Amino acid sequence: MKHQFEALLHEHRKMILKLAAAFTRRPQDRQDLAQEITIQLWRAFPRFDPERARFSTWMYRIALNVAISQFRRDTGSVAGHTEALEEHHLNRIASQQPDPEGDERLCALWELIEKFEPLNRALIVLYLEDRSYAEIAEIIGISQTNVATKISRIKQTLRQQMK
Amino acid sequence: MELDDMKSAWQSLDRRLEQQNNSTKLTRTLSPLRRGQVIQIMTGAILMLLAGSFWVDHRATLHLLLPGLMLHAYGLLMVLSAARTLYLLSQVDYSAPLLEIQHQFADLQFWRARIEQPFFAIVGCFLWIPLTLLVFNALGADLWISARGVVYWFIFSGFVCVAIAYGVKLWLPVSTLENSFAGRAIRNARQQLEQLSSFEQE
Repeated sequence: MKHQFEALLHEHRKMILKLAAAFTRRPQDRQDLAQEITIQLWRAFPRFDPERARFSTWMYRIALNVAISQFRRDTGSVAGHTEALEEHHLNRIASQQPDPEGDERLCALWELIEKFEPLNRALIVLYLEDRSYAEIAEIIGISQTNVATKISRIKQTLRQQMK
Repeated sequence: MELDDMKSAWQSLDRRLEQQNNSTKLTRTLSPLRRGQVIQIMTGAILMLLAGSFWVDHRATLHLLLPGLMLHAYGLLMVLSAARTLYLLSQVDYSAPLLEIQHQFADLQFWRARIEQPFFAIVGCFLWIPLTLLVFNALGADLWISARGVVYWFIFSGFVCVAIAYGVKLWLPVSTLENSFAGRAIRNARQQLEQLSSFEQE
């Protein structure tokens, strides 16, 4: 079981790190969150039933539940995180090869993500991860129509902010 | 930047993460909430042990039996409430849908902020009285026998403490109360519940 888990974890490691980066600011917090997600995944793994849910759905649920809970605990608030950006966000992503154009886009991406409260942030992350509306609905626990409506609202909000 | 433009930026993260050193040292630490509950269980157990042995030794003396029993009951409540919280936390199935789990957490936080913490605060206004009686007894002085009036004053001051707390709650501006530590906890819990329900309804 351990080897199976390690293989799956290795396969999805980048997703965990990306998700951790979407919910935390400092590199240390990001690492702590990734670690907490890994621990919860390992704890829940014996109960994972492939007939009930796809591995990715199961993993996103755990990772996002842990991330949102930790985010709320750390910020002590449910309102959007409004602190000014601290360091360059890319330090958190630990790039070895600077890419000015990519850096700028990632900075903008992080600034946008941080404007949303945790559940909408989860929705954005899942959308960016190219998950289908059906899977997003299953992960969050809302209807597909609701997912479509929310994503459309988020797009609208972003457009308004860009004006 | 449109949401769809964000996708390519998001995907570019993959390349960066490939370059990252992924050696994460797995060290399990208890979350602050769990740590707090463990400390509460230990404190409650010690209190139960001390108070239990005290009232057993003095079960024939009503004015010593009662404070012993009170402290014992308080210790038991501390243990039970912390054990309940730990049990609820251990029952959380993170693989359930996000809304379900976040509701569970928000309900738990609301219960702790609105019910549990005020209850312990009110009891705390009186708890020091049996504790003082026990301490004096351990030092060889029986306050109830030697200075009963003082004990009555203690009880009276317990009621004064509750009245002051209630008065502060009534007279202080709502904004000041909401910015207090307890106020923030309640407000955050309430906001979380409201936010979840508005997310569901939208």
